Amino acid sequence: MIQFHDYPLSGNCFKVRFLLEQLGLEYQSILVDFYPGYEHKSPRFLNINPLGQLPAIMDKGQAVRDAQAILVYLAAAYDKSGKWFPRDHQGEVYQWLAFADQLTGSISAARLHDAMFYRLDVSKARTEGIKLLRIIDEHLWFAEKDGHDWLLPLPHPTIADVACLPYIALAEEGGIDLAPFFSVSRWMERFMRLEKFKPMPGMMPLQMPKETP
Amino acid sequence: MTSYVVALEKDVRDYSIVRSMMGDKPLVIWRGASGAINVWLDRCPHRSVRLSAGRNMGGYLEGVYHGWQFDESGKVTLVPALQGRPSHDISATVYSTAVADGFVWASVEECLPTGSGGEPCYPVHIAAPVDQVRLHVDSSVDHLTPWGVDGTMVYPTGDPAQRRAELSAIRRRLEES
Repeated sequence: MIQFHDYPLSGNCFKVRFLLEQLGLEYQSILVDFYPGYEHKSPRFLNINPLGQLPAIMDKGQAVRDAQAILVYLAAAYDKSGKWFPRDHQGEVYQWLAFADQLTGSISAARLHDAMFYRLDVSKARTEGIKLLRIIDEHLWFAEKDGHDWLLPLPHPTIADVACLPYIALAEEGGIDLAPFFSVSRWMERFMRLEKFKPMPGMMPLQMPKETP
Repeated sequence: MTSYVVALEKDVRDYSIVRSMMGDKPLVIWRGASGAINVWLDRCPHRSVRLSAGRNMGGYLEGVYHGWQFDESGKVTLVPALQGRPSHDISATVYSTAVADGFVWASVEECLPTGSGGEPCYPVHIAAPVDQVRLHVDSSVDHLTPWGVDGTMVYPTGDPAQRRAELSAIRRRLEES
């Protein structure tokens, strides 16, 4: 069974948990006390990921670390439908996975500063986060105009959406106002209405009426 | 009194909620079961939590915090803590609203939309006050709405790809000066 080193307040862990559940995979969740315990820097965890970063999984005796890498790994290994990691859109998928990493470096950093008292240049992190939000908001506006609901021009979400969603949905915990990003707000709402979506702390979607388009 | 564009009509969808701003006023915008669009102050009269964090159930808007229900006129029709009784003397702050040329307009007084130059396209937020932005755009083509104290939302019309490029350039000039 897949062992998943997980922390409930981590957006990067959310991505892995979401895909594991979408794929219906059995897994064992091993909780790591990230804050205030800093257990991800403990010798035990550094043995699993020398970078001291969450998430990480162990599958068939092999460790896979980094949220984006795990998304690719799980989709490639277990998604027979090929929907979550569409092979004929690989360039776009990798581009958005890299973009998600930049969200971690900016919006997530601002949130670590505000919520977990990390010392870093928070105004620089917010400015960078807003720059990224403008890019993805424009992309989604033009995607919607062409009749697409997701980051890729496909009728279903992919790991690109999974990778970008959580730190955007948590942006206000880092002091970044999401109100100016109309298209991003609609995209988040669509995502949160997906089957089997479970919010993590900090996301507060109420159960919406199902009739919604 | 001035009327402002606060959203694109097509973006205000059934069973959904749109957040916006009109000057210093945060807005919650929702389409009710009647099909009409409601523009209210985004603040619950009970504990000031954003109404936009709640949900649009069609016939009513429900607050996230204590579950108060507001009908389309803004009246409180159900308070769970009062065993579901209404509280008709309490209301959301409702703004005068109109829909014109694909835009949703609102005003703190009577809402009187002005004409638009064409099809609505991609709204652009600029971190500069509306007086400064006005010097750079053509007001017959673009509607400007103050967004907080020092921001502006530009609701342009015209060809989206072309207007996006133009407004991005204006934004860069204003924000980097």
